[in-house]
Amino acid sequence: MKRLTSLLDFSNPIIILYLVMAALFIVLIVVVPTFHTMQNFNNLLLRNVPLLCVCLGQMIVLLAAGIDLTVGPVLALATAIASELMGHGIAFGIVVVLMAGVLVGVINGLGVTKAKINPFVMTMAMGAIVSGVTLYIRPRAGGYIPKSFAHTVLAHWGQVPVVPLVIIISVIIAGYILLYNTTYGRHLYATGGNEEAARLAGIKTDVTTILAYVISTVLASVAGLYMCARIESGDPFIGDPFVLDSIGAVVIGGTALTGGRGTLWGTLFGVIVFGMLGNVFNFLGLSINWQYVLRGLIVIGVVGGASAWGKS
Amino acid sequence: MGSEEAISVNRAQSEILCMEGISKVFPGVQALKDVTFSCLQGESHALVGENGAGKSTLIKILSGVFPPNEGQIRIAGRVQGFRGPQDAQEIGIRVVPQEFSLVPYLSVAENLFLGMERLYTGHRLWFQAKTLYQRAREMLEGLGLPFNPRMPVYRLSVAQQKWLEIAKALVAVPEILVLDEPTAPLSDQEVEHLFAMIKDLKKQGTTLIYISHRLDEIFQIADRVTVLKDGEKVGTRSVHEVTRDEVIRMMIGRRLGELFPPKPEKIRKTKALEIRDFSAGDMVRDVSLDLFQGEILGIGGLQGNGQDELLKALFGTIRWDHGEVRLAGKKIKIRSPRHAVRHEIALVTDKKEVEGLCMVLPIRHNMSLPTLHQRQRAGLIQLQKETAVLEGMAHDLAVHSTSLSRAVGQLSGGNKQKVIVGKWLIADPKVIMFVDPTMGIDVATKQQLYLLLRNLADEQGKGIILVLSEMMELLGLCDRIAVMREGRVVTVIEGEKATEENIMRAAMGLYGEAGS
Amino acid sequence: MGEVMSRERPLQIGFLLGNKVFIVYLALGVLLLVAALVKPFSVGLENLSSVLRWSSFLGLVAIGQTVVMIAGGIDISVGMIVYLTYNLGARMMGGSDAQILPTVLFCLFLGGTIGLVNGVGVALARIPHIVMTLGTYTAIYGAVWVYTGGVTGGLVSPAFKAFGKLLIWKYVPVSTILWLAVCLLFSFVMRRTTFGRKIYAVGSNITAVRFSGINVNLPLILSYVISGVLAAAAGLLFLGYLGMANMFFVDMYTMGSIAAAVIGGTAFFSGIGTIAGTIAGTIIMRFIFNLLVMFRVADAGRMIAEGLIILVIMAFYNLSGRE
Repeated sequence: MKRLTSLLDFSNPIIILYLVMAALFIVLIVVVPTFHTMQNFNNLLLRNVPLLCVCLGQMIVLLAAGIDLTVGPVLALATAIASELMGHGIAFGIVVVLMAGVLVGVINGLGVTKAKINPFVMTMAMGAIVSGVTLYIRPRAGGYIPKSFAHTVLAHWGQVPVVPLVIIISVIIAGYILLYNTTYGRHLYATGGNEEAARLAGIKTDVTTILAYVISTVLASVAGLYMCARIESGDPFIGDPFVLDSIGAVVIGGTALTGGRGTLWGTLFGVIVFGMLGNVFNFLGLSINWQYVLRGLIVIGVVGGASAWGKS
Repeated sequence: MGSEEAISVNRAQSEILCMEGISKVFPGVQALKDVTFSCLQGESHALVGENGAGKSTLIKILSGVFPPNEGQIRIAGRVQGFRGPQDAQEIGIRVVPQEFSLVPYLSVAENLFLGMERLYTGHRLWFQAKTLYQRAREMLEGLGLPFNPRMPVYRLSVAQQKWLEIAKALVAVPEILVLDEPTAPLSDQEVEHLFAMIKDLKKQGTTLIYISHRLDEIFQIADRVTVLKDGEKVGTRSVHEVTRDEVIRMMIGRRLGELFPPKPEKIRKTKALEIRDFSAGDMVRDVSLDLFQGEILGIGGLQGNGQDELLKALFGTIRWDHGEVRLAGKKIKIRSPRHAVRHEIALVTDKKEVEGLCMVLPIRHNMSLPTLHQRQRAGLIQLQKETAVLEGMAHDLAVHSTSLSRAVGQLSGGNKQKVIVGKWLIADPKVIMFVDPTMGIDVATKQQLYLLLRNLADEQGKGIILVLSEMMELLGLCDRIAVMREGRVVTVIEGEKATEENIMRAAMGLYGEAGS
Repeated sequence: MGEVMSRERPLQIGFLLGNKVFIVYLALGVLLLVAALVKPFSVGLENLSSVLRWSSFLGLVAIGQTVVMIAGGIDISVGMIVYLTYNLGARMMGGSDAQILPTVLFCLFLGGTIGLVNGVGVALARIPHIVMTLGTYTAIYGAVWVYTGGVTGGLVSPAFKAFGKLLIWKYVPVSTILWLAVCLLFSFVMRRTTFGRKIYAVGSNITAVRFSGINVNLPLILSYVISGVLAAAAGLLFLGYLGMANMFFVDMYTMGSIAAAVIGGTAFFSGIGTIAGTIAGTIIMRFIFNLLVMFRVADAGRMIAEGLIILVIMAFYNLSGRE
């Protein structure tokens, strides 16, 4: 509970953003009648499971003073692999997807720590490679996802979507434990906060960083598995919006792009904000393309605002 | 210059540490050459030398940060091969480094036990915040430090952070404790507290290695002192058998008088710069100072008392709040380096590579940068004119290089500094400010720079401000010395009153003169 | 204390124009040689003409990207700027020759404005380059679809089309000549003007430039403006060649321009690079793409190749610079 009070640290200018957003949502909830129906709530949940996974991964990498631009491509890759291989066995498909995720994460981590390539450059280039592979496997949306898999993932128990809820809860719990109850979590914050100091204190900063990248891509793979159940196919372009959104959501939640700073609750907040964004746009009748425009501008605004306030 | 061991300590003390024949080479520079350094158990051994003498390299080798190219380390007789800092820590070598080495957004407790969490929360992977905070509070109270273990480190003052770093090193009683310039941010009372702590540690058998520029402190706390110069060991002496002068001579290789050019007796009338009630945040408070044309004004005092910030604020790289600055009588408001340059003021900082040079670019690009507009027509650079000007300046400064196309990253420290100085001289400013201009530079180049500074003041009538951390440079080079403490100018000393003791007393807040 | 141990810059190669650019052209020669053995068709005049033509589109973008990268930045939005003018140009022209000039001018202006926005965000709001230009990338994409309503429209004027397909000496496209002329111009600018010097300086160490009393924002912003204008021009040239607009567009310009610059010796965030090198880099990238098409792995292969090349070169730079 103590962590929550750190959210209310008034010296952090993000607090103003929180208040504005909270006010906005209260207004929305009151004004728009269909907003607080169970159906809408379900909808929100279903749509934002992948975003939550991806954002947690992005946050972990950002904490280590890195960045992961491969989250979108890995998500798409996951759907592509699944759509090709699940026909031969669901478990088989899942295993290969996860292994691919781990592989990409390891390469990302090695490139950043051993080859000393800038994280932006490394994950951007790796993202291109992953996208290329995805495009090769699945040149356009399609492929085969077994109905049994899709139905299991999207099954409802009454009104409640079981698997999405389970995923969300376990991701949040796992994230909390990892960040606050393991020494790895402390090492992560230390590596991003002051790498030299961490290294002198005996922390294996390279391993910590590589692990962070692996966690991120694995989470992105999981998000992809969920996604392909929802769209019942593989789609090489499905991952595109996730990169920018994950950065925006995590930054709005108070995680610094420079590393070493950020809370789980803040990230959750950011996910809720960005998740709701799509919902709000739909209610306002904005076409998907306007949403693209606005999303882009919002992320720029968020990051710019965060850095401007941070410097004053 | 052979290495002598003058040992008149009790032979019954065993040798706890012996670093023998240590050499270390980095690309382009030999940091240490065949250095042998040893400590007796329970002694406090001071390590002194100018900046760049090799002290921190030696310590980094001792603490396992990197291995030496040659030589070996023996602890209590056994040869050690460290694979990393953790190995050294495990056998009890702890270092309190000079640079900031805390994680700012983690709490006091987390920083205290950084890397050793499992020892204090009982489990390799699991992290129990409560246990950590408890143990932290116990530890800190034991040392007399009333910190809140949950507080994030960035909220602590600089002095408190230094104490935390000291506490971090004392989490387990160390075999060998290295303190690298620990007293810079501390008040006099805190320094006394630290010395008391050191005496306690010695009683418990800890061996202390103490790196400092402050000879007063060294003579107060150390048993023996080893002097390094240009990567080699000059000698080791017992503190009782050597005077400060001798130590200084060992450090710089010659007497004060021989190193610096003579200062002409001059009556300076015209003021180049008048500063009144100048403040910038917490670090610079109501500074009032005059700079005369043709003089070298030194700014001294303990490091971190606002000297750097004063120059930066004057140059416009940090914000200043209020005050008045007059340049040759006219009031000016400098809010950015561009303003400063336009008013013909220049600043050479102590961070050559970070703030002064574009490392991958050739000398030509670097030296011409502030004055590009002087040699262009419609945006096109007049190459011939530029070559003439640059080669002339390079020649005047004796920059040893094959051509202007050489990347500055490949130059020696001394030549790098010359390029920076050169670029400003081409701009012909009226006031030039420097922060520790000879740091990390070989002695020969230092002398050239001293002559140059003198020339700039005497022959060219420029006003020079030098922020210096080396006492010898303050005394040897400056016509007047302003001492800063806690952001204020405490006193301005000149002439006969310019002695090391007076400067130190002012720096530490004691007033009045002492007999020197 | 850090003064004694001089920090190693990963790139020892430095600024020397002569050496490094020579290597890239050598690599191009080797590539052509190897390709001649493996797929002789690829070095036939037909293919080479195609490579040259398509190099002009990618090449224009790559010039701008090179300038931005030398200034220490990166421009991800270029792909969408090309897309924008490609579609917008057709609509504005409406099939009439008289509209060519206003269309071209407006599109270039638009590209420049987007570049201005990018530059301001990066220089003044201190938004990281990638985030800023990724944001504009997304926004432009949405904007194009909003504007066109998803419908391909517009008509290219006949004169424009004719120009787009023009060939000299039967095999050399005019657009390539245009591109090379622009290259010459910018190469000159980068090497002989104060602007060029400032770009290199800002990319190498922005702090040092600031401390030298030079306005760092102007060169930085201008570099993004240049990138925007060139990308817009590339879109128009592209439109001229294809003769019609198309809402579906695979972005080969963003990563492609970055890869071309990197092959040509431009480094990330550090004030190192040359236009001459980028010329060779562009041709190499296009040539590789055409080869990949021959091997039937067009787009997928291209993306993999782009990413792989960047990674390998960067790893090589970094690892070879260390002892």
